[in-house]
Order: sequence, then structure tokens, then C-alpha cells
Amino acid sequence: MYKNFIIKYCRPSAYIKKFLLVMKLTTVLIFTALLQVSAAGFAQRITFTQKNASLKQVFKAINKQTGYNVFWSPELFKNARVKDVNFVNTPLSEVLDACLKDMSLTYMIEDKNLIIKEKPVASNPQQQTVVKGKITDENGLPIPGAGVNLKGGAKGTVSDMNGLYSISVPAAGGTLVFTFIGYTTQEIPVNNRTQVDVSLKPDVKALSEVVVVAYGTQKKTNLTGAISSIKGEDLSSKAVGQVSSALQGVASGVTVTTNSGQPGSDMGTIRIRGIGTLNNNNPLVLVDGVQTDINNVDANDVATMSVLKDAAASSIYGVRAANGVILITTKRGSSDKTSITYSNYFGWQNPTRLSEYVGAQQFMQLANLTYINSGANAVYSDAQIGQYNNPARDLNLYPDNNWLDKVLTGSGFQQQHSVSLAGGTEKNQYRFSTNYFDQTGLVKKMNYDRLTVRLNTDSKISDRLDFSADISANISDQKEPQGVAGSAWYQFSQAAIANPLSVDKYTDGTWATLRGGQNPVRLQEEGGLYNYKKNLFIGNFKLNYKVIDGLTVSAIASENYQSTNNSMHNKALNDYINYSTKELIPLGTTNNITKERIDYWMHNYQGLVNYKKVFGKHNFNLLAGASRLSETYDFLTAYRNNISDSDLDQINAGASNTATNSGYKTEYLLISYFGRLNYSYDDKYLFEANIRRDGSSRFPNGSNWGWFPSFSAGWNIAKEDFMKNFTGIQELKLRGSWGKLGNDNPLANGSSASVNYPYQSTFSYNNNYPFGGELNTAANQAMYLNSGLGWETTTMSDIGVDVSILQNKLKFTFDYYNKTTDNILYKLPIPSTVGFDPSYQNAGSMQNKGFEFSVNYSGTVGEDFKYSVGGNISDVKNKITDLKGTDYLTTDNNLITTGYKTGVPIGAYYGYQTEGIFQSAAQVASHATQTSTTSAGDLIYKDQNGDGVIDASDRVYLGSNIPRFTYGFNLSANYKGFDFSALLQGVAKVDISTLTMEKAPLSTDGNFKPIHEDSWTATNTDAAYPRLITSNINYQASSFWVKSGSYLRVKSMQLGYTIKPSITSKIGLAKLRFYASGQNLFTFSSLPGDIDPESPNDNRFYPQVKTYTFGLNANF
Amino acid sequence: MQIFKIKEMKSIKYIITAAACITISFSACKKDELNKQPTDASSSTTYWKTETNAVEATNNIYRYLGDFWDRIFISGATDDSFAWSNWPSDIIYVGNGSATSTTGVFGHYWGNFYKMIAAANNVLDNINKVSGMSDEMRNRLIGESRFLRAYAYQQLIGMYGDVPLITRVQPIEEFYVTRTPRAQVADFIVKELDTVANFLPLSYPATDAGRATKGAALALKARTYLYEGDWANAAIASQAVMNLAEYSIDNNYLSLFNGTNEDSKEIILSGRYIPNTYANGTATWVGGPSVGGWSEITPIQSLVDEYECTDGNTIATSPLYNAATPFENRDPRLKLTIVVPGVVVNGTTIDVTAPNSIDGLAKNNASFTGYYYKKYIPTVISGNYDNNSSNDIILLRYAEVLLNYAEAKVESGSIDQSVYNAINQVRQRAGVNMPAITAAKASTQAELRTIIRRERRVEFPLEDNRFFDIRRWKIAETVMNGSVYGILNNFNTDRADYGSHVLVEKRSFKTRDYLFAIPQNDLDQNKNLVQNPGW
Repeated sequence: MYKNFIIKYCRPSAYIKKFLLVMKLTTVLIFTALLQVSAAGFAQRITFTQKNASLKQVFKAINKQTGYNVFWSPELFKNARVKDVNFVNTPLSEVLDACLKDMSLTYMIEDKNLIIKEKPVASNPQQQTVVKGKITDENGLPIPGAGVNLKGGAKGTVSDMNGLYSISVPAAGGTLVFTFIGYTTQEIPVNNRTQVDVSLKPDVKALSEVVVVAYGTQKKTNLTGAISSIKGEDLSSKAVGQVSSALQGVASGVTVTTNSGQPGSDMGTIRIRGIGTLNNNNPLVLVDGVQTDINNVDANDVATMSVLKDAAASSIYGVRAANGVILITTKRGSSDKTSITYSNYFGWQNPTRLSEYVGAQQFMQLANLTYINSGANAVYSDAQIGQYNNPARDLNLYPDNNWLDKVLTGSGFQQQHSVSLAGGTEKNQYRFSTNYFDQTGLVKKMNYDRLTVRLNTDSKISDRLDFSADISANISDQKEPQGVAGSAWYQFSQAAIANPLSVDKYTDGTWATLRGGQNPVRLQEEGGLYNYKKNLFIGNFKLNYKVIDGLTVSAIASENYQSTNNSMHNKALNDYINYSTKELIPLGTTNNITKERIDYWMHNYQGLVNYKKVFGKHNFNLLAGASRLSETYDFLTAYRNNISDSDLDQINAGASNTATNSGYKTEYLLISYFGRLNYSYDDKYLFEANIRRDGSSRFPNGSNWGWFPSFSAGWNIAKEDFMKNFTGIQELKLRGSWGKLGNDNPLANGSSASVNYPYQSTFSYNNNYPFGGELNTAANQAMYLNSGLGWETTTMSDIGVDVSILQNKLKFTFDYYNKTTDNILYKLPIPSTVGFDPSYQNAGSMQNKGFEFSVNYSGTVGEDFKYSVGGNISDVKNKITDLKGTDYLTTDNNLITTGYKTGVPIGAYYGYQTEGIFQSAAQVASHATQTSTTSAGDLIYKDQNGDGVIDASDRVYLGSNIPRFTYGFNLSANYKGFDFSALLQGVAKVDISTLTMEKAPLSTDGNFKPIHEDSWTATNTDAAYPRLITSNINYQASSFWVKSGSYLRVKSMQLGYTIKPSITSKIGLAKLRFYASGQNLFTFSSLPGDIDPESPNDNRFYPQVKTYTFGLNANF
Repeated sequence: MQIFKIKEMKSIKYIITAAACITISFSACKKDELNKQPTDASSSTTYWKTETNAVEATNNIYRYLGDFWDRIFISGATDDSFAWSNWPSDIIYVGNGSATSTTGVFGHYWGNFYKMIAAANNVLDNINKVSGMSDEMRNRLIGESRFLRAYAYQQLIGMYGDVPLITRVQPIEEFYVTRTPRAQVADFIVKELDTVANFLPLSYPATDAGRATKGAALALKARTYLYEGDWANAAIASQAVMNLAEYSIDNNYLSLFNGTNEDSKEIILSGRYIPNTYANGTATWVGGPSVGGWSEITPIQSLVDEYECTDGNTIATSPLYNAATPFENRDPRLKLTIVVPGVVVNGTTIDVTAPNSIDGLAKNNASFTGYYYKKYIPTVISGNYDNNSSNDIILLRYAEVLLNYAEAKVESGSIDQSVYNAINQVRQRAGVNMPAITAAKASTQAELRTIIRRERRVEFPLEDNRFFDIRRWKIAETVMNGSVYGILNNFNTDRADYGSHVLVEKRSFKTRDYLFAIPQNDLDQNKNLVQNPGW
């Protein structure tokens, strides 16, 4: 045998044949996951008696009595029965011969292994003919490695790289059976043909039925929790830099907002079922079972994503799950074929909407009007304004600059390249992928690049022991011009505020100064660089041991290390020249450098025991586990000033007497025990219970531990007998759940210290005060001491229904939920007379109620046109139900007043109700007193309490910026080689305050917008806006500035074309697809055209971007 | 075909190892492993142990003293200055009368001083837990803390009137306080200062320069009496400072403010700054574009006109005053305090009407009044956006003590030579040398009152005195109402804008404006607080 083997291997054709056979077997063995193995004992004779025995039973007996491992694939002879057997102390060989003789099977024994296999085809006197053909998928692409068997025969082959096969069949014909994982098996009679092509249909059931759930997978039909499931392609097809942004609009109950398009800072904020708490609302994200930042994974590596929305689905994650959970699995290698893919795209970004500003002449006129209205003189002379009528004027003296245009110097070019290589043997599989993403911003020097590498490996150490090691790493580098660290704020805030009368660069080439001295355009050209480097390493190691059938023990270790190196280099750029006098303007700025180093370690060790058992129609699944998660965060920063050579940008280059530094470290530990029971009867009645016990270091001793239970049940009505007659209904399921979740994460944007030590009040030494010219340590207790702090808990109930009709073409899911959060960890404001910052308290309660609905229809028109349309909508009604009696309003620097009041949504807008614009002094006099300077042209505020004075007590609820409705539509279609997809996303019933965007400047420091031309004057009394003045009395929080923020945005659109495989296969490509796509293409909103409704701001931030991309996908 | 052989024993080994790993990792949890403590700061419950703890907690109270930009911006609520922008401080609205109870500065001063008070109360409540400290040191620290707390209250009553008097770290049940009558708080302040004057040293070794002294306590006591209208006691308390013989008028007025003379014998108390590591941004906020500043606070015509001519007469009466050259023959403090048009600063001639001058009128960051402050511009401008000024913010100086004395004596009707001496010490410092005030020039209470008030105004621009003075004198309704002017050009007679005054803003000052509003956020949270009338 061994010899034979060798000889065969030396012949190329035999080698291939062997290889293909191995491939096929691997496919069968691994992917059906039905490989049966058992071993014990050491006898050679068999005693076994049974009526109507199955082969399986025989093999079990052999295994038990001989100790041989019996390898066989039930797939090969599913219904094989031996009828009645009666062996008494019969030699093994006889038993086998007897059992296998009618089945064209044979066996071999190698060491202690008994392998049952197909009988080699004996040289057959019968006439043979060869049938050839091609196996393709639903898109007409070749399927390599698909199985082709003659029905009833032992013969089999697999398709080659181009999906081609060739098989010998008896001249009499027969039926060919075509199989491929994930596709429905097809049987086609040969009927004397020599060419049989076949197009395999995806096995929709097999693909869609399994959903990733906490610590495993679950058949979709057996789910009892509210889960949205997303395919990896839905994310990777979008040309966005961050996975979080790609999640926008694709799942119901999930709201994603992106506030910036800045390269490297364009991540989305994810909210699942609204804002559940006053503090950290970020969902827990687990990639392959280990928590991480969602943006740490590359969209191209995502195989599936599940969003766990209700307590039943997520409560097993206990403390970390109150804001919902997102589970991501990454793509893995397979043994059936080696596949190489390459994809790329190239794109350009443009701002979606930019603030519009008036030109110089209008600016001066409006500024003069402002000052004259306020009782001051005009600040710009008629002569100066008049100069602008002269096209030949001196532009150095009379400039007209649109700074927002001036700073947009970047190309906005972006590109991505992605390569993956996957394959393996039946024993070891791997998938390697790498991705390079490079994004240039709208502003010069503002860019981001990232290199991601991932290697996922699976090894079968023994038939019971699996090991997988996943290693991923990424290196990213974000850059921006010097200014204000961490955002594009300096560039844009300067540009949005600088008026058109400021020169950027004189005609003689010298730079002009701008407000604050520094000119943003010059900073781009000549300034220092701010550079944020992030390195991330994640190692995920998992051992799976199958103790007995159905009982699995797993151990998972995850090591996560992240380091951030920030470097902020400022160049002095002092040589500004006064253009008139040609004298130097000594700005006195210096060359300096700040370096920051942040190290983050996360270790997570988990042990799981899973037991599955089926008793007749009773299906049990038990899970128990424990997890230990620790985090360490270490921050260090150093600074030096007065670097003598502006090009030097390291600490040592600076003057040592200017050195400052600071640093701290924080730690977090979470220990958890959890268990889950799933029970289903006949797949009709489903029940699940979870329990979790968490111990968190963020609570004081004695209140570390919390219990978090959940229960859920489901009823698959469609499977009931009485539904038999409703053939149009494929699925009808009712679900219900209740559960409790915990939260120990007090604040998203707080410092690491306040997040990790929320109950502790400390004296920090990072404050100093100079005596005698030297700094002395000053120990500051900033926070009020609150020693009693406990868990924040969220209780959620959910009722849902899943419906699937018209042969699964039309699917609905509806959920109604009620989510209550109690003991919210929050720094409830305390009167400032206390003199300390508030500490965390278990501050109050909040409720989110609402529904989620999603619908999807897929259909075909004719043979070639396939399409699917879907939509989802989520409703959130948020309100604060308790705030310990300390309802309060707070007013920010922009004078926007937000309320934290029982009975209304969190952060709701408050302010005066406006009743139009005063038209005369008499009207002002007859109205309640506003301010002493109020006059005609000012907003009329309603005297709510009728006391004749407009003051803070007249402020009322004006609206909420939490969208009631968030919705998305998606559309996809395929026609021959063409594919098209579109995603629309929107929000409705939401209010935004346009105060910062629509208010006119109060001085010359700012920019007027065209809308301000329609401000009230004695001659323009039906104006849209109040009169222009230097006081902010019209810019108090009022209903005048609260507007509908509803919008609908075409988030992405993509058109692709796949070149006929018959053509591409000639150049060795299995698939070649080109596509063009666009992000944020169109926006519909009632807001003024220069306000982006998704991130309404006054353009002092990097805007949202429209992106056009072109790319290709290639499979080898 | 190949099938893999695995010894069962081997896999059992794996599982044992795996199970052991899991077991170890969890059973290794020490009982209090979940008890994580900060490693960069000391828990407030275990803090008070050593003398160092006590000293460092006391040092912390000083951090609220300087409050650099707001102490300077408060001038925007006087007839000295115009604050053109509402950022970083919105004092502009207090200046022009359009403030509301949500105006930021009201919350700022209130919050800052109550933080200072809480920091002091924290020391006073806990310092006795510290063992191994000399009584002398303990008393000094108690003295510093009580002084600083008194300072905060003195500022608070001047701004807000009645304020909650809080003298210990409040337990939660005491959070919702009521306002204590101003007189009662003032009484508390002077009693505290009387006590701490006995604990505090007259001076410190050089390494401790900047700490509260006996002189500071006495000077603050004098100011408190004066501000509360207790003239007799104000005079006595001022005299006590003068009797210390620790302080004298400096020979260089400008040096007190530009960072070159911070240990002057004239300075009694200041918010301290040093370059780089504890710097402020006075150059940015006070300076104009020529020094890289943002001119957030600029002098107005009314202040310029207040400076006498060198003959000691006002511009209305002096023959030396020439409207064509209005800045000549004036009290030297005019040009020490204010950058007037035509002056060269950093090589740039200040010309606000030249269309392309960086200091040009209505240019970003340029003055609206045509004037810039010179006082408080450091001699060395360095650092990013000038946020590296290191000049101290003066809070109490000997010139004030002298003028407090003079005012107290005059108002209490006991006019004698010491009043003239006090005024003249200030007027006649080296480099200023204004003609002496004599009985011949002013002898009545009314005459002297006018002179002292003018002297205070021209001596203290950008310090907080004027803010309190116009309120306690009840003259704000007059001086803070109406139009505010600046000047365009008074150095180039050839130009059309020569000498023309620019109307900068219209102000309104009502009775309510004598006191700040209690911040709305505090009223919203604490129903026991009552708003000041008119807000």
C-alpha cells in the first residue's frame, strides 16, 4: 500500500487525482462536520447482534471492541443498512466483508485506524463514456472543487480551477450528482449527453440560517433574542475608512452618526436602541469573541456581524452589554480550495456641504450695519467699501478671501488595496489577509494611512482537539498640520471665522497673519506636523476539546496590545511682515515639541464548557463559562520648548529648562462567571435562560459583584401542524424576552482615571503653583467624595415577530422593546458652592421605548434579473424618569441650553418660545421686559409665567436632538454581469439647534452668511432673521433656532460589472469585477443648504465628505 | 489515503493543561484583587498624614488666586475698557448691559471662588489629622488657608452681594445653602483676617515668596472695611499696613506689571506665574496684533481723558492740553498704561485706520478703540500664541493701601496731612512725578474725593479696583451708561480721520447691574438660592 502510494505520487496525473480526492474528502469531512470518530479497547473479534442495524451501529461496536478508530463518512452512504446482523466472536475482516459487500465499499486498516472507503472501480467490461461539463455558481462564475458523482456509483471527481470536470459514466448513462458546500445539491440525468453544464443554486437555507450569537452560533429559526445579522460584504463594499461608519443604515435598531470626514477621525458613533444612559453609550464590540474597538478590524476581513439588541441576546455579556453588543467574526481559511483575492479602490473626497459666506463688500456692509444698529459708528468707510467696485484694486490692501476655500488644499485622494490568501489542508487551514488604506484629506498634510495584517489559522491537532491562532496587527499613521491637537479644528475654525478682509498671502509672496497670529494656509505649507501613530497587536488563541459527543471544552486566551505615539511639533513661523511698513511682526512663537505615549494592554482569558444533547425532539444546549479581563492604560507625555532649529522635532532638540512631563497609569479588572441554557422542543418551542455574575474593580469593596439574569422564549408557529395549509408562510415566529444588564463604564469621554476609579476621590499632584520662581507641588482634591457606588442596571423587555413568506422572498421582522436604565452612573451636577466637582452617583433612571421593523424582498425578473429591496426603521422614545429630584438645565458656550429633566428626553433643548420679531419701540414697551437694549428688530420671547419679565424662568422645552426615527433603505440588483446596490439612510422627528450655524457674528471676528442679508431693518421688516447687533440677545436659546433635523441621505451607491468568467479564466482569473461607487451622494433636508444635517456645526470642524471611488475585485 | 493518528494520552494532556490554565487564572484571584486603587494620586480618605500633605494641599488654594484672564477682563465691566469679543470671556455683555443670568462670567467667578473656598475648608477641616508638624507651621498653613478663603469671600460679596457663607467641607445634606447677608460675610472676613494676621509672617524666605503675609491680611482687611463703607476702621487698618514699614512705592510703575519686578516692595499679594511651566496668556489677551495678541480688552477714550496733564490739571482745565497733540504733556502713566495711536510697538507704528495695518480698525484681533493696553504686556513675549507670559497678576499693592487710607480718611471727615502724603506717594513715584496734591489745591472732602477717585482710576487700570469702585461709589449708572468712544488717528494731521472719535458701543447700566446675577445653573440646581433683584 505504502509503495503504491509513493509510486502514484510520482506520476503527475495521479498526484493531481490524489490531490483532488483529498480535497473532496476534506470538503466532506470538515464541512459536513459529521465525521464520526470513536476509539477504545483492544480486541480483534467482534460480537454484535442487532435487528435492522445501521452501519453506524456496527462501526461503533467495532470501535468499542477492537479499539480501532473507524473513519467513515456517512455522507457517502447515508442510508446504508446492514439489515439484521448476528456476529459472535467473528473476526473483524469477516464482519467487514459481510457488512460492506453490497455497498461498493471497501476498507483498509492502518495502525489502529480502520478506514472505510469506496471500492476502487474495477476494470469494467461495461462500455464507458466520458461526460464533461462546467459547474458555475448563480452568477455564472466557475466553482472549482465542486463534487461530481455518479448516482449509485462509487465514482467521483471534482471540478478544476475553471469549474470544469470530466467523469466516466457507463454508456447506459445514469444520473450525475453535483455537490458543493453552501449550494443545493443537484441531480441531473446524463441522457446520452457528453456535455452536462450545471449552475448551482446557493443553499439559502444553509447560508442564512446560522447566526453568530454570544459564545457560538444559533440557527436563525431557533433565535429567541432580537438580533440583526449583517454580511461582511455589506460593510466591505463601502469606501469608508472605518468599520463603524460602514455600519450606518444597514441594520434596524442601530444608529450610526459620523461627525467628521477627517482621515483617521471619521469613525462613527454607534447607538443601539437609542441613548440608554447618561454616560457611556457605546456598545460592546467583540471580534471573534474578544472585545476590541470596532475600528480595529478591517472591513474586508469581516465574515459576519451580529448586532445583539435585547437583553436576552446580550445578557450573557453582563456588565458590558447594556448598550447592546456587536459580534464580528472574521473570515477563515478552508481546505477546499486555495483562493487568492485582490481588491482595490481609488477615490476622491469632497465636502458634502460647506458653510457659505458673503464676500468682502457685503461683509463690510453687514458689519457696519451691526455696529450702527448697536449704537456704534460704522467700522468700514465708504471709501474702503467703494474700493471693491474697482476690479483693478490692490488686492493686498483690499482682499476678498474665502478662507474655507483657501484651506481646502488637499487632493482628498484615497486608495485601498486588499489581498487575501486562504487555503489549507484538512488538518490545517489558514487565511492571510492584508490591507493598505491611504487617505489624503481635504487639507494638505492631513492624511491617514493604515496597514492591517491578519492571519487566522485552524489546526486539527487530533480529531477531538482543535486549535486556532488568530493574529492581527495594524499600524496606522494620522497626520495633520500644526494647530490644535487631535482635530482639524484649527484649520477649519480659523477658516470659518476669518473674514474675507484678511489676506492669506501678499502678492510679493510674504505671508499675512490671521487672528491669533497664525495663518492656517501657511501652517499647511510651512508649519510643523502633528502625527498620531497607532500600533495594534491582537493575538487570539483558542483550544477546543471535544470530551465526548456533544461536550466541548474551550479555552481562549486573548492578548491585546496597543501603543499610541503622538508627536506635536510646532514651528515658530515668526517672520510675518507688516505689508504696509515692511516691518517684521514679532509673533514670539517658538519651536516646540510635545510627545505623547500611550500604552494599552488587554488580557482576556476565558474558559467555556458547552454541552449539547438531543433526546428525541428535545434539544438541550448548556453553556458555562468564566472570563477574566484586565486592562492597563499607561500615559506619558513630555514637552520641550525653544528648539533652535525649527526642523528638529525631537525632545532632545529643545531647551532642557523648558521640559515638562506628566504621566499616569490606570488598571481595570473584570471577573465574570456565566451560564446559558437553551432548550427547544421539535424546533417549535424555544426557551433560553442566561445568568451572569460580574465582579468589577470599578466599584467599592462590597459592591463589586452583580447578578444579571435573562429569559427568553420563542414559538415557531409556522412549524405547527395547523399551519400546514398555509403554504405561503415559510416562517412565523413569536419571540419574547426579559433581562437585566449591568454597566460599570461611567463615561465615554472621561479620562481613563475617572472611568476606572469612579468612586474614588483623590489628591492629585499634577497641579503646581510657583513660589519664589519655582514650582511647588500643589495637591488638589477635585472631586467630592462619594464612597457608596453600585452597579448601573438596564432592564429590557422585547417582543418580536419574524415572518417569512412567498417562498422566503419576503421577510419581516418586528420588535417592540422597553428598556429602563436605573442607578445610572453619572456625575449629577452639584451646586458650585460646594466647591468640588461632582463625583459619580447612582444618579437616576431613564427609559427608552420603541419599535424596530425591517423588511426585505428578493425577487427575480426573467432568468437574469435579480433584485432585492429592504428597509428598516427604528423608533426610540427616550425620557428621563428620575434624576433624584435635581432636574437641571445647562447652557453651553454657544448659549444652547439643554435640559436634564424628569419626563423629557435627555439633553433636550430648552429656551424661550419666540413670537416673531418686534416691529416698533411701542411693541417693545408693551411687551414683557427682555433686556434694556431690546428694540425693534429683536426676537420676541414669550412671557410664559406672565410676570412681565423675560428671564430664565420663561424657558420651556423646545425639542430633542435624539432622533425618534432612524431608517435605512437598501436596494440591490443583478443583471448578467452587472450589479447595483444603493443604501439610503435617514432620521426623522429630530430637532437640532442651528444657533451656532445661523447666528451672525457679533463683531468683525467672524463671517456673515448670505442669509444675514435678510436681517431685520427698518426697511426690511418682514425679514427672516432678527436685526444684526453686537449683543447676543437674539442668540439666546430660543425656539427660533430649533429646527427639524430630519434628513434622508443617499449614503452609498455602487455599480459593478463582472467580466464573463470565460474571458477572465484565460488570464487565470476566476472572477474579475470592476465597480464605481459613491458615498454621501445626495442629501434631502429642510435645513439651509449649507448645513450638513448629519453633523450640524458651524464648519469649524472637518466636514462630512462625499466620496467617489473606483475599484476592482479579483479572485485567482 | 492518510489519516492522522493521535495518541489519546496526548490530547488528555492538552485538556488537563488547558483546564489547569483556566483554573489557575481564576483561582489566582486574590480576595481583594478587584480593589484597584489609583497609582498617581492619593486617596482623599488616607491623605492627611504628613506635613508635606498639609503644605501641598495649602499650595493648591493659591492656584485660584491668579485666574489670569478673568481678573484682567473684569475691566471690561468698567468705564476703563472695552472687551470686543465674547470669547474667551463674555464680560462684554456685563459691560454693555445685555447680560443675562446665563452669561458665562457670572458662573466663572462664582465657581472659581467657591472652589478656592472649598480647597481652603478642606485644609482647615483636616490639618489637625496631620501629626509630626510644628505648631508654627500648622498655624502658618491655617493662616494662609483662612486668608485665602477670606480673599475669596471679599471678592464674592463685592460681585454678588449676599453669598452663601460656607466655612467647612459640606456634607451632602448641607449642599442646598441660602445666601448670607453681605454685612455678616464682611464681618466674618475681617474677624478672620484679624486672627490670621497673628499667624502669618511678615515675609518669607525667597523660596516661599508669594505666600500670604501678615501685610496681605491687614491690607485685605483695610480693603474690606473700605468697600463696606466702614471708613474709620478702613483708615485704621490701612494705617496698620503702613506701620509695618514692609512696603514702599516702587520707582518703576511699568515694571510691576511686565514681569521684571515681581518681588517689588510695593507688591503685597499677587497671582504668581513663571515661564513655560506655569505661564499665562496676558500678552495674547491684552496685547494687540503687533505683539501677537488678540486685543480682547482695550482702553476707551474715557480712561484716556482721565489722565491729568503734567501740571496736575485735567485736560478740561489745563493750558498744557492741546487737542491736536492730546497725548503730550500728560500724566506719564498714560503712556505707561496705554499704547496710543502713532506709537511704535515692536517696530510697528500703531495706525488703526491704515487699511492694511495689522492693527487696523476692525481687523481681526485689532482694537476697536484705537488704543491698546501696554500695562501687563510682558517684556519677553515667547511661547505658542503668547500663552507663555509669566507676569504676575497683582492683587494687592501698597499704592492701593495708601489710596484706601486717603479715601477712608477723607470719607470719614478726618482730613489731615497724612491724606496728602498718601496720595502724593502714589502720584510722585519716580517716573511719574505728578505735581503734589496740596491743601491749597484741594482741601474740602468733595475736592479730595474727586482727586482720590481720579488717582485710583489712573493708577489701577486693568487691576480689579475700578470694577468695585464704580459700584461702591454708586457712580456706575452715570459712567457706564451711554456711548463708548475710541480714537482713530491723532498723530497724522494730514489725514481726514485725524482726531475723530469712533463710537464703539452703547452701554446701558441699570440698578440691577450693581451686582452680578447669581449664575442660573446654580439657581436651577439649588432652589434655596434667591436671584439678585432685576435679573
